[in-house]
Amino acid sequence: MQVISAFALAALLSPQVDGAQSAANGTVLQPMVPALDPSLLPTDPVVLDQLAGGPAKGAWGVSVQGGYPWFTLRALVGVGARLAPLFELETALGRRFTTSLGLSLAWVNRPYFRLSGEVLLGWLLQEGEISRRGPSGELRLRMAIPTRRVVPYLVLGTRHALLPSRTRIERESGTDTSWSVRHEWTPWGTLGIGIRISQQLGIDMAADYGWVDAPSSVAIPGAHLGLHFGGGR
Amino acid sequence: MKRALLTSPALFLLAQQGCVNDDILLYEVRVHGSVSASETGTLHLEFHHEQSFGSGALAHPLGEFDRRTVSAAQTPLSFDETILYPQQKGQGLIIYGWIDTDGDGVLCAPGKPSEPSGLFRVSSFPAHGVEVRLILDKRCAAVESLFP
Repeated sequence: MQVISAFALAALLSPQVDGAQSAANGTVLQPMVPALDPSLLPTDPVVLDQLAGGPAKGAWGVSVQGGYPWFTLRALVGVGARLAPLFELETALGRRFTTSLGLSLAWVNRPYFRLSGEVLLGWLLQEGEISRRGPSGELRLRMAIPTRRVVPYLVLGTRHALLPSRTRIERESGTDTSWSVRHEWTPWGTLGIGIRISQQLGIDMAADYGWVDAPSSVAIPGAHLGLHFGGGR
Repeated sequence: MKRALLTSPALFLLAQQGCVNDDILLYEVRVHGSVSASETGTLHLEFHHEQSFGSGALAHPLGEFDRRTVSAAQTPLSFDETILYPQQKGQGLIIYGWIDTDGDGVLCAPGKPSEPSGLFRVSSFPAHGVEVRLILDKRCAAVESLFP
Protein backbone atom coordinates (compact mmCIF):
# COMPACT_ATOMS: atom_id res chain seq x y z
CA MET A 1 0.00 0.00 0.00
CA GLN A 2 2.82 2.39 0.92
CA VAL A 3 4.61 1.59 -2.32
CA ILE A 4 1.45 2.31 -4.30
CA SER A 5 1.00 5.58 -2.44
CA ALA A 6 4.57 6.59 -3.12
CA PHE A 7 4.15 5.90 -6.83
CA ALA A 8 0.88 7.80 -6.90
CA LEU A 9 2.48 10.79 -5.19
CA ALA A 10 5.45 10.69 -7.56
CA ALA A 11 3.09 10.61 -10.50
CA LEU A 12 1.13 13.54 -9.19
CA LEU A 13 4.22 15.57 -8.51
CA SER A 14 5.73 14.88 -11.92
CA PRO A 15 2.90 15.32 -14.42
CA GLN A 16 5.14 16.68 -17.17
CA VAL A 17 7.20 13.48 -17.16
CA ASP A 18 4.01 11.50 -17.52
CA GLY A 19 2.89 13.77 -20.33
CA ALA A 20 6.19 13.36 -22.20
CA GLN A 21 6.00 9.60 -21.95
CA SER A 22 2.40 9.65 -23.10
CA ALA A 23 3.26 11.85 -26.05
CA ALA A 24 5.97 9.41 -27.01
CA ASN A 25 3.32 6.69 -27.01
CA GLY A 26 1.14 8.72 -29.32
CA THR A 27 -1.42 9.86 -26.75
CA VAL A 28 -1.70 13.18 -24.95
CA LEU A 29 -2.89 13.09 -21.37
CA GLN A 30 -3.70 16.14 -19.26
CA PRO A 31 -2.14 16.18 -15.81
CA MET A 32 -4.61 14.95 -13.23
CA VAL A 33 -3.96 17.92 -10.97
CA PRO A 34 -2.05 21.19 -11.37
CA ALA A 35 1.66 20.88 -10.80
CA LEU A 36 2.78 21.33 -7.19
CA ASP A 37 -0.69 21.70 -5.79
CA PRO A 38 -0.07 22.72 -2.14
CA SER A 39 -2.51 20.07 -0.96
CA LEU A 40 -0.33 17.37 -2.48
CA LEU A 41 3.03 18.55 -1.24
CA PRO A 42 4.47 16.31 1.45
CA THR A 43 5.24 19.29 3.70
CA ASP A 44 4.30 22.95 3.84
CA PRO A 45 6.59 25.49 2.22
CA VAL A 46 8.52 27.68 4.63
CA VAL A 47 6.88 30.85 3.35
CA LEU A 48 3.46 29.51 4.33
CA ASP A 49 4.59 28.44 7.80
CA GLN A 50 6.32 31.72 8.47
CA LEU A 51 3.48 33.90 7.28
CA ALA A 52 0.57 31.82 8.50
CA GLY A 53 2.10 30.23 11.62
CA GLY A 54 1.67 26.73 13.04
CA PRO A 55 4.38 24.73 11.25
CA ALA A 56 4.46 20.94 11.36
CA LYS A 57 6.65 19.12 13.87
CA GLY A 58 10.34 19.56 13.11
CA ALA A 59 9.81 22.27 10.51
CA TRP A 60 11.71 25.43 11.28
CA GLY A 61 12.00 28.76 9.62
CA VAL A 62 13.56 32.19 9.89
CA SER A 63 12.10 35.37 8.44
CA VAL A 64 13.86 38.65 7.87
CA GLN A 65 11.48 41.43 6.94
CA GLY A 66 12.74 44.94 6.28
CA GLY A 67 11.06 48.11 5.17
CA TYR A 68 9.75 51.39 6.47
CA PRO A 69 9.45 51.83 9.38
CA TRP A 70 9.52 48.26 10.62
CA PHE A 71 12.23 45.61 10.54
CA THR A 72 11.49 42.16 11.92
CA LEU A 73 13.46 39.00 12.61
CA ARG A 74 11.21 36.02 13.30
CA ALA A 75 12.07 32.38 14.02
CA LEU A 76 9.67 29.45 14.43
CA VAL A 77 10.12 25.74 15.07
CA GLY A 78 7.28 23.22 15.07
CA VAL A 79 7.09 20.93 18.06
CA GLY A 80 3.99 18.95 17.10
CA ALA A 81 0.22 19.39 16.92
CA ARG A 82 0.86 22.52 14.82
CA LEU A 83 2.30 24.26 17.85
CA ALA A 84 5.51 26.25 17.53
CA PRO A 85 7.55 28.34 19.94
CA LEU A 86 8.65 31.55 18.28
CA PHE A 87 11.13 34.34 18.79
CA GLU A 88 10.70 37.82 17.41
CA LEU A 89 12.90 40.88 17.35
CA GLU A 90 11.32 43.97 15.89
CA THR A 91 12.55 47.49 15.50
CA ALA A 92 11.14 50.70 14.13
CA LEU A 93 13.92 52.76 12.55
CA GLY A 94 16.41 51.44 15.09
CA ARG A 95 14.81 53.51 17.85
CA ARG A 96 12.02 51.31 19.11
CA PHE A 97 12.81 47.68 19.88
CA THR A 98 10.57 44.84 20.97
CA THR A 99 12.00 41.44 21.80
CA SER A 100 9.43 38.70 22.29
CA LEU A 101 9.06 35.01 22.91
CA GLY A 102 5.78 33.33 22.08
CA LEU A 103 3.75 30.42 20.83
CA SER A 104 2.08 29.93 17.49
CA LEU A 105 -0.76 27.46 17.04
CA ALA A 106 -2.63 26.66 13.83
CA TRP A 107 -6.33 26.36 14.57
CA VAL A 108 -7.43 25.67 11.03
CA ASN A 109 -5.09 23.94 8.63
CA ARG A 110 -6.72 23.15 5.30
CA PRO A 111 -4.94 22.84 1.95
CA TYR A 112 -6.16 26.25 0.86
CA PHE A 113 -6.64 27.99 4.16
CA ARG A 114 -4.71 28.35 7.38
CA LEU A 115 -5.69 30.28 10.46
CA SER A 116 -3.38 30.49 13.44
CA GLY A 117 -3.16 32.36 16.69
CA GLU A 118 -0.07 33.69 18.37
CA VAL A 119 0.65 34.94 21.84
CA LEU A 120 3.87 36.82 22.59
CA LEU A 121 5.44 38.26 25.70
CA GLY A 122 8.48 40.47 25.66
CA TRP A 123 10.08 43.78 26.45
CA LEU A 124 9.72 47.16 24.78
CA LEU A 125 12.52 49.68 24.63
CA GLN A 126 12.24 53.00 22.82
CA GLU A 127 14.99 55.57 22.83
CA GLY A 128 15.00 59.16 21.68
CA GLU A 129 12.86 62.16 22.52
CA ILE A 130 10.02 60.02 23.82
CA SER A 131 11.64 57.10 25.57
CA ARG A 132 9.53 54.13 26.58
CA ARG A 133 10.34 50.89 28.28
CA GLY A 134 8.43 48.09 29.87
CA PRO A 135 6.91 44.66 29.44
CA SER A 136 4.92 44.04 26.31
CA GLY A 137 2.53 41.41 25.01
CA GLU A 138 0.64 40.68 21.85
CA LEU A 139 -2.23 38.57 20.61
CA ARG A 140 -2.16 37.94 16.90
CA LEU A 141 -4.24 36.25 14.23
CA ARG A 142 -2.64 35.03 11.01
CA MET A 143 -4.62 33.95 7.98
CA ALA A 144 -3.33 32.69 4.66
CA ILE A 145 -4.85 31.32 1.49
CA PRO A 146 -2.02 29.35 -0.12
CA THR A 147 -2.21 28.62 -3.81
CA ARG A 148 0.33 27.06 -6.11
CA ARG A 149 3.12 29.58 -5.62
CA VAL A 150 1.48 32.51 -3.96
CA VAL A 151 0.44 32.90 -0.35
CA PRO A 152 -1.82 35.91 0.23
CA TYR A 153 -1.92 36.59 3.94
CA LEU A 154 -3.41 38.84 6.57
CA VAL A 155 -2.14 39.52 10.08
CA LEU A 156 -4.23 41.23 12.73
CA GLY A 157 -2.75 41.94 16.12
CA THR A 158 -3.33 43.81 19.33
CA ARG A 159 -0.18 44.85 21.16
CA HIS A 160 0.01 46.11 24.67
CA ALA A 161 2.84 47.59 26.67
CA LEU A 162 2.90 48.58 30.30
CA LEU A 163 5.03 51.63 30.96
CA PRO A 164 5.84 52.09 34.64
CA SER A 165 6.63 55.50 36.06
CA ARG A 166 7.89 56.54 39.47
CA THR A 167 6.88 59.61 41.44
CA ARG A 168 8.91 60.65 44.46
CA ILE A 169 7.62 63.35 46.78
CA GLU A 170 10.26 64.86 49.00
CA ARG A 171 8.54 65.96 52.19
CA GLU A 172 9.97 67.38 55.37
CA SER A 173 9.26 64.03 57.03
CA GLY A 174 10.95 61.98 54.32
CA THR A 175 10.49 60.83 50.75
CA ASP A 176 7.34 59.04 49.60
CA THR A 177 7.61 56.90 46.47
CA SER A 178 4.66 55.79 44.39
CA TRP A 179 4.43 53.91 41.11
CA SER A 180 2.00 54.25 38.27
CA VAL A 181 1.60 52.34 35.04
CA ARG A 182 0.52 53.68 31.69
CA HIS A 183 -0.94 51.38 29.08
CA GLU A 184 0.16 51.71 25.47
CA TRP A 185 -2.00 50.04 22.84
CA THR A 186 -0.83 49.28 19.33
CA PRO A 187 -3.36 47.72 16.99
CA TRP A 188 -1.67 46.07 14.08
CA GLY A 189 -2.56 44.95 10.56
CA THR A 190 -0.48 43.51 7.75
CA LEU A 191 -1.78 42.57 4.33
CA GLY A 192 0.59 40.97 1.89
CA ILE A 193 1.61 38.26 -0.51
CA GLY A 194 4.16 35.53 0.02
CA ILE A 195 5.86 33.83 -2.90
CA ARG A 196 7.21 30.28 -2.67
CA ILE A 197 10.56 29.93 -4.39
CA SER A 198 11.15 26.45 -3.03
CA GLN A 199 10.06 24.49 -0.02
CA GLN A 200 12.94 26.00 1.95
CA LEU A 201 12.90 29.50 0.51
CA GLY A 202 10.35 32.21 -0.07
CA ILE A 203 9.80 35.94 -0.11
CA ASP A 204 6.96 38.25 0.77
CA MET A 205 5.88 41.83 0.33
CA ALA A 206 3.25 43.53 2.40
CA ALA A 207 1.73 46.73 3.69
CA ASP A 208 1.92 47.28 7.44
CA TYR A 209 -0.38 49.40 9.52
CA GLY A 210 0.83 49.68 13.07
CA TRP A 211 -0.84 52.38 15.13
CA VAL A 212 1.54 52.92 18.04
CA ASP A 213 -0.09 54.40 21.14
CA ALA A 214 -3.57 54.47 19.62
CA PRO A 215 -5.84 56.33 19.68
CA SER A 216 -3.93 59.37 20.92
CA SER A 217 -1.32 59.32 18.17
CA VAL A 218 -1.12 59.29 14.40
CA ALA A 219 -0.57 55.99 12.62
CA ILE A 220 2.23 55.77 10.07
CA PRO A 221 1.57 53.19 7.35
CA GLY A 222 4.53 51.14 6.23
CA ALA A 223 5.62 48.42 3.85
CA HIS A 224 8.20 45.67 3.86
CA LEU A 225 9.94 43.02 1.83
CA GLY A 226 10.73 39.72 3.49
CA LEU A 227 12.95 36.71 3.02
CA HIS A 228 11.96 33.37 4.53
CA PHE A 229 14.12 30.30 4.77
CA GLY A 230 14.06 27.12 6.80
CA GLY A 231 14.40 23.40 6.96
CA GLY A 232 13.00 20.25 8.47
CA ARG A 233 10.53 19.92 5.63
CA MET B 1 29.20 28.69 33.76
CA LYS B 2 27.51 28.51 30.38
CA ARG B 3 24.22 29.68 31.87
CA ALA B 4 25.96 32.56 33.59
CA LEU B 5 27.53 33.58 30.29
CA LEU B 6 24.12 33.60 28.68
CA THR B 7 22.20 35.37 31.44
CA SER B 8 24.78 37.97 32.41
CA PRO B 9 24.47 40.05 29.22
CA ALA B 10 20.69 39.97 29.48
CA LEU B 11 20.75 41.08 33.12
CA PHE B 12 23.32 43.73 32.29
CA LEU B 13 21.15 45.13 29.50
CA LEU B 14 18.07 45.08 31.72
CA ALA B 15 19.95 46.85 34.51
CA GLN B 16 21.21 49.45 32.05
CA GLN B 17 17.82 50.15 30.58
CA GLY B 18 15.70 49.75 33.71
CA CYS B 19 11.95 49.92 33.57
CA VAL B 20 11.19 53.47 34.70
CA ASN B 21 9.62 55.68 32.05
CA ASP B 22 8.97 58.96 33.84
CA ASP B 23 10.92 59.53 37.03
CA ILE B 24 9.13 62.48 38.62
CA LEU B 25 10.68 64.20 41.60
CA LEU B 26 8.43 66.59 43.52
CA TYR B 27 9.36 68.81 46.42
CA GLU B 28 6.60 69.58 48.88
CA VAL B 29 6.42 73.23 49.93
CA ARG B 30 4.00 74.90 52.33
CA VAL B 31 3.48 78.45 51.16
CA HIS B 32 1.76 80.78 53.57
CA GLY B 33 1.64 84.48 54.00
CA SER B 34 -0.24 87.70 53.73
CA VAL B 35 -1.57 89.65 50.80
CA SER B 36 -1.68 93.41 50.67
CA ALA B 37 -4.44 94.71 48.43
CA SER B 38 -6.85 97.58 48.48
CA GLU B 39 -9.74 95.52 47.15
CA THR B 40 -11.44 92.24 47.93
CA GLY B 41 -12.77 89.46 45.72
CA THR B 42 -11.23 86.14 44.72
CA LEU B 43 -7.47 85.72 45.04
CA HIS B 44 -5.89 83.88 42.11
CA LEU B 45 -2.42 82.47 42.82
CA GLU B 46 0.01 81.11 40.25
CA PHE B 47 3.16 79.20 41.18
CA HIS B 48 6.02 79.46 38.69
CA HIS B 49 9.58 78.28 38.32
CA GLU B 50 11.87 81.27 38.18
CA GLN B 51 13.61 79.64 35.21
CA SER B 52 11.97 76.71 33.50
CA PHE B 53 14.46 75.52 30.86
CA GLY B 54 17.52 76.56 28.95
CA SER B 55 20.63 78.18 30.37
CA GLY B 56 22.67 81.33 30.00
CA ALA B 57 21.31 83.76 27.42
CA LEU B 58 18.82 81.13 26.28
CA ALA B 59 17.33 80.59 29.73
CA HIS B 60 13.56 80.83 29.67
CA PRO B 61 12.05 82.77 32.56
CA LEU B 62 8.95 81.58 34.38
CA GLY B 63 7.01 78.34 33.93
CA GLU B 64 3.74 77.77 35.72
CA PHE B 65 3.35 74.44 37.48
CA ASP B 66 0.35 75.02 39.78
CA ARG B 67 -2.44 77.50 40.43
CA ARG B 68 -4.94 77.99 43.24
CA THR B 69 -7.99 80.11 43.91
CA VAL B 70 -8.61 81.48 47.40
CA SER B 71 -11.55 83.46 48.68
CA ALA B 72 -10.43 86.93 49.62
CA ALA B 73 -13.66 88.50 50.76
CA GLN B 74 -12.29 90.15 53.87
CA THR B 75 -9.14 92.05 54.69
CA PRO B 76 -6.49 91.36 55.85
CA LEU B 77 -5.98 88.71 53.19
CA SER B 78 -3.91 85.62 53.85
CA PHE B 79 -3.39 82.18 52.39
CA ASP B 80 -1.86 78.84 53.34
CA GLU B 81 -1.29 76.39 50.48
CA THR B 82 0.78 73.24 50.08
CA ILE B 83 2.21 72.75 46.61
CA LEU B 84 4.32 70.08 44.91
CA TYR B 85 7.28 71.67 43.16
CA PRO B 86 8.57 69.70 40.09
CA GLN B 87 12.31 69.67 40.69
CA GLN B 88 13.37 68.54 37.22
CA LYS B 89 11.40 71.19 35.33
CA GLY B 90 13.23 74.27 36.49
CA GLN B 91 14.61 76.22 39.40
CA GLY B 92 13.57 79.01 41.73
CA LEU B 93 10.07 79.85 42.92
CA ILE B 94 7.90 82.79 41.91
CA ILE B 95 4.41 83.43 43.27
CA TYR B 96 2.09 85.66 41.29
CA GLY B 97 -1.32 86.77 42.44
CA TRP B 98 -4.22 88.94 41.38
CA ILE B 99 -7.64 89.69 42.76
CA ASP B 100 -10.72 89.12 40.70
CA THR B 101 -12.85 92.00 41.86
CA ASP B 102 -15.69 91.65 39.35
CA GLY B 103 -15.93 87.83 39.49
CA ASP B 104 -15.47 87.27 35.75
CA GLY B 105 -12.41 85.02 36.17
CA VAL B 106 -10.33 87.22 33.86
CA LEU B 107 -7.61 89.68 34.79
CA CYS B 108 -9.00 92.97 33.55
CA ALA B 109 -10.87 93.38 30.28
CA PRO B 110 -12.02 96.32 28.13
CA GLY B 111 -14.71 98.22 29.93
CA LYS B 112 -14.09 96.38 33.19
CA PRO B 113 -12.45 97.76 36.35
CA SER B 114 -8.69 97.36 36.56
CA GLU B 115 -7.69 94.62 38.99
CA PRO B 116 -4.71 94.54 41.36
CA SER B 117 -1.84 92.10 40.81
CA GLY B 118 1.64 91.46 42.14
CA LEU B 119 4.54 89.06 42.31
CA PHE B 120 6.83 87.68 44.99
CA ARG B 121 10.16 85.98 44.37
CA VAL B 122 10.98 83.44 47.08
CA SER B 123 14.63 84.00 47.87
CA SER B 124 14.78 81.38 50.63
CA PHE B 125 13.89 78.51 48.29
CA PRO B 126 14.38 75.53 48.42
CA ALA B 127 12.71 75.06 51.78
CA HIS B 128 9.69 73.01 52.83
CA GLY B 129 8.05 76.06 54.35
CA VAL B 130 8.18 79.58 52.92
CA GLU B 131 6.56 82.76 54.11
CA VAL B 132 5.34 85.14 51.49
CA ARG B 133 4.33 88.78 51.57
CA LEU B 134 2.46 89.42 48.36
CA ILE B 135 1.83 93.06 47.56
CA LEU B 136 -0.77 93.56 44.85
CA ASP B 137 0.05 97.14 43.87
CA LYS B 138 0.13 96.86 40.07
CA ARG B 139 -2.92 97.27 37.86
CA CYS B 140 -3.76 94.74 35.15
CA ALA B 141 -0.18 93.43 35.13
CA ALA B 142 0.33 89.88 33.89
CA VAL B 143 3.12 87.78 35.35
CA GLU B 144 5.28 88.22 32.21
CA SER B 145 5.23 92.00 32.65
CA LEU B 146 6.41 91.73 36.26
CA PHE B 147 9.27 89.23 35.84
CA PRO B 148 12.08 89.32 34.97
